[in-house]
Amino acid sequence: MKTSIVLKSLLGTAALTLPLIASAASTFTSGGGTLTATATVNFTVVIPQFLYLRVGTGSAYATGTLATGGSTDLITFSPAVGAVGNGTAVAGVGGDLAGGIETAAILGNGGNVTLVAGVTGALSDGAGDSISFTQITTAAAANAEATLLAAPPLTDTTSSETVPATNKIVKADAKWTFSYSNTVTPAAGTYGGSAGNNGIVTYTATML
Amino acid sequence: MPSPQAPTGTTPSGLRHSRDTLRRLTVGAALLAAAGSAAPYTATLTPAAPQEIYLQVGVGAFTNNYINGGQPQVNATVNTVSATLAVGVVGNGTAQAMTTNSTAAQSYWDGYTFCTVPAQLYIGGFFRTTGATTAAAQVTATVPANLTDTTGDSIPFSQISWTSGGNGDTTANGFLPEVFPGGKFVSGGVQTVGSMASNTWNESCWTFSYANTVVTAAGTYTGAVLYTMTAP
Repeated sequence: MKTSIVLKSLLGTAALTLPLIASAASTFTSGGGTLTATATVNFTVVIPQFLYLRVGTGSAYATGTLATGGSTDLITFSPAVGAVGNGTAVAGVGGDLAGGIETAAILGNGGNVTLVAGVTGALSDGAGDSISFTQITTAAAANAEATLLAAPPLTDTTSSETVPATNKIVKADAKWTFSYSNTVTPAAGTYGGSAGNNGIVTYTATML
Repeated sequence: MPSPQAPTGTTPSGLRHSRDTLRRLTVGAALLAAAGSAAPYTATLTPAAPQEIYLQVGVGAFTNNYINGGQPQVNATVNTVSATLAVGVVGNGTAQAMTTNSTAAQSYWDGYTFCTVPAQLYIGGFFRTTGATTAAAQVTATVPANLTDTTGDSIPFSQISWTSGGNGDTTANGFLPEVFPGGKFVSGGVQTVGSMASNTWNESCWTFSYANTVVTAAGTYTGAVLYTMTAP
């Protein structure tokens, strides 16, 4: 009986000094010896899904500014007289980086991205003559991000490529240099330059 | 249970009252530090049996304010500190303010409106002995390595930091620096976030922010930090 009383006493002491470890915002403990009280706080960060595409003039994505805006740039190729169709590539004029060069960037946080380059047909002069978009090449060079953004080759319909994500993040960019291959001899004229003459390339990024 | 207690100690100085003269004078609170010294807002307690500690982070529970004889209670609520980022700012390096769903603005010490909600999270409590002065009780945070979402993505807890303040706390009145100072989480670690001297009540208000220096996959990231007060 005496032993039992001692045991009860010890148990009582232990109960008083047991730390409260259940989740709570406030707890208290009392008694002798070391005392422990705990409180738990949950932390939540909600990250929205976003997809950013820039080709040409646009916001300063490299410094964190992701915004809709800018204008549609015009790049013009003008082969010299005597050089038409001679196979020597012709550099362009225009583009946000000048010299037929455009800034291109894709940033997203929802997985792989498909980039499509679409046109409504071959470049037209409005008089029945045309130049295939395959005459315009796009070379990608490194820009601000670590991942190079390759350019989908231009055709007279659509072309696409997948930009792979790492841990669902896509951060890729490049300087796209457009050139005119000049391997054909078309009729004299001004081709493209407007939507009516199929002169617009529309780039579309889609998060998969 | 101990009888209702009023704080005792040194006579409040005029300088220390500048934070909230009415509050301290009417309750007769005594402040530990001498006039002109830099000390956080800390009030002395009358030793009483049993030895007791109370920790509150967010909402708490008391039968009444301590100075009116209130007794601490367990509040099983777990508050949340959160930030919801806008599209276009993810990972741009601009810190994002976090808010809390805690409604704890008043101190259970004396009912003073100490924290501003939802911007601030109350942290405070007391360490009371039966008489003798002992080593201080330590308050630590046990921090997971990451906040995680349901698809396995993660954000390091070190992206979250906090500043510390409280209504009426100024350097001039000696209530700064805070007893629970500002800091930054150490991912996957246990870190000390403050301490309480024996026979004192201590409190601060924390304002959290998300550093936002990494582009992170879309999702809702959660994680829980366990605060532990240990008295010797």
